Amino acid sequence: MSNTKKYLVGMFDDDDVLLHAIKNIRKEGFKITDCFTPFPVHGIESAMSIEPTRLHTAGFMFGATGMSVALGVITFINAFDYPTIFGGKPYWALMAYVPIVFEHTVLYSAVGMVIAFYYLCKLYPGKKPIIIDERTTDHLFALTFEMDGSQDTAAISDLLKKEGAIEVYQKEV
Amino acid sequence: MNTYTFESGTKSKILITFVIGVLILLLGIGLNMGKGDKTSNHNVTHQAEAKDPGHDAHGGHNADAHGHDSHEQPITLKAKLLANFYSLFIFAFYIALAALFFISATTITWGGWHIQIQKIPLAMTRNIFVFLFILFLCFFFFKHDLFEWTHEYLYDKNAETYDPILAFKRDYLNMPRFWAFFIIQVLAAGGMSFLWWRNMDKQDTNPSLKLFSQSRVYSAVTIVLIAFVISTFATWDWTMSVQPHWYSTMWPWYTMASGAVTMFSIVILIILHLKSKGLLARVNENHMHDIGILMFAVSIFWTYLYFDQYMLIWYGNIPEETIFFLKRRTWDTYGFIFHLTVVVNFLLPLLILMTRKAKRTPKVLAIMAVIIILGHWMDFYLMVGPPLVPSGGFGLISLGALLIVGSLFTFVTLASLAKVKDLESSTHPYVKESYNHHI
Repeated sequence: MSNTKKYLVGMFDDDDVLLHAIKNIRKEGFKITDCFTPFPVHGIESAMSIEPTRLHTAGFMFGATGMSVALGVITFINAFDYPTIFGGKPYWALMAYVPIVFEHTVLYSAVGMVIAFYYLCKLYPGKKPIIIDERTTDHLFALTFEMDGSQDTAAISDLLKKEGAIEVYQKEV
Repeated sequence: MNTYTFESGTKSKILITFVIGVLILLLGIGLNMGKGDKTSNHNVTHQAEAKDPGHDAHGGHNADAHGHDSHEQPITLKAKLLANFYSLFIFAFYIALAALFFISATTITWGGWHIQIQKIPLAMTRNIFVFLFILFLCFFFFKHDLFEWTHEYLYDKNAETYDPILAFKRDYLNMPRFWAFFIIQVLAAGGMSFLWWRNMDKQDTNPSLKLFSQSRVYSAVTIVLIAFVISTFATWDWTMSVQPHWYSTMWPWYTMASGAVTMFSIVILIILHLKSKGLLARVNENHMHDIGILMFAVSIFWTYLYFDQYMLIWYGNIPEETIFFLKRRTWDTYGFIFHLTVVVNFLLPLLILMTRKAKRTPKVLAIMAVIIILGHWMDFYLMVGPPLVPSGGFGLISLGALLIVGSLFTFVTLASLAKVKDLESSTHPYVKESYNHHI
């Protein structure tokens, strides 16, 4: 009935210990659901095998869209819909359009990337945050394992303790 | 194993390049002489136009879109050679100046990632001395060929050749002022590169934090000198005054950006050369990535300045300014390389160097470095070439000149690099940051 999931949580108090633990646990074949740290830990992406983000590709696409839209609209207006002579320049004066087209490219890619980022992170204004352990926002590091029955939680608990976790517990959020 | 030895194999390669350059140059001169008869007729008409005073300086040159301004000289072989070599000497000087700027800018911002490779730009700054001397010879012997404003007949009020605009500009554009500024520029550029070299040399043999603080003082002084004394006035005096009626406020930035992006390209090529000799073992793709980013960024910066200059002149539509592009844009003279520079210096770096993977692949970086060097060579030629050789003088002679000046530049750089006692700067306080650099 409920939408909550059960997690096994291992708390660490040192980032180096955490990095080693991640490496060893992954070597044993266990799947880490997520990792929470109070600050960005160097090298944690490669340790967790997190794929590099493809957000910038989306940014390029949004930028290209912005460029086409700006160029298309300004061309339609100035060259076809309402051609006007300004200072002896041609109707379709590409040089004058470049700054506007550039600004549109930047605007579309910036706004588009913010939206894409929200979508990829499943964030939206007013979302209630799911916090596994409030201490991860201050001084402790947490490794979580989803307890969906596919992994041996007892073995993971033992391994976590062996790797230097100061606390291992289960939590339902 | 922390010093570079300038091996005879490398030396002979540079020598072969030099010889090939001389051969291509001679071939170009020969071909040029073969068609001398055709162009000489041209020259006569051009000269006749040049002597027509009413044609000049009253906005009249708006009319001739085909690139003959009043103050052009007859298209001689001398002008072609001078345009090609002079632009390359300026190019080489600006690359060396950008190298000096790079070590200053990174030092003053507490930069750490570049410490292992900082000796490469340092070695490149030695070219400042060489090319300032060559430029001195150019100015001394060819000032009348290069600079129209040096002719006395322009300032004689009663003569037909009187040029009111240049007479008005004479407070700035005159030879005593030029030489005074040149001496200051030599003292500033030469002095700072000498002090930098001495400081780095001492840091290698007898490292101390005091020397590091001293280098930070040098950085501040160098940046101010480059901005307000060397780069700005040098561009006005040496390249902008080749077309004395024309002016642009973008010019010093534009020249400096062009030199800087070429400097990064050369740094990449030299790193790859050193790595092929087994040196700089701890320079990895992270450092290459950073230089790739700078190459990409400065290419965009160059385009920004290039386009700004173009658009402002296009918008303003003042004949004095538009003549600059009319001379370069026409397809029968410089149109091809003029449009090619935009593709090579903007579109290719933008599209190829955009991805992270490209910037971490040495092969892609090396190919892009060569392309960018060639692109900015054309760019520098377009700065001074068209007013000197209005009918188009970019060809075999240019290629020969590039190989000759390029091999000279490479020789000086590598010979200076061989004098460096500690290639990796392994005693620098920030070297560990460079070893552990990871992005």
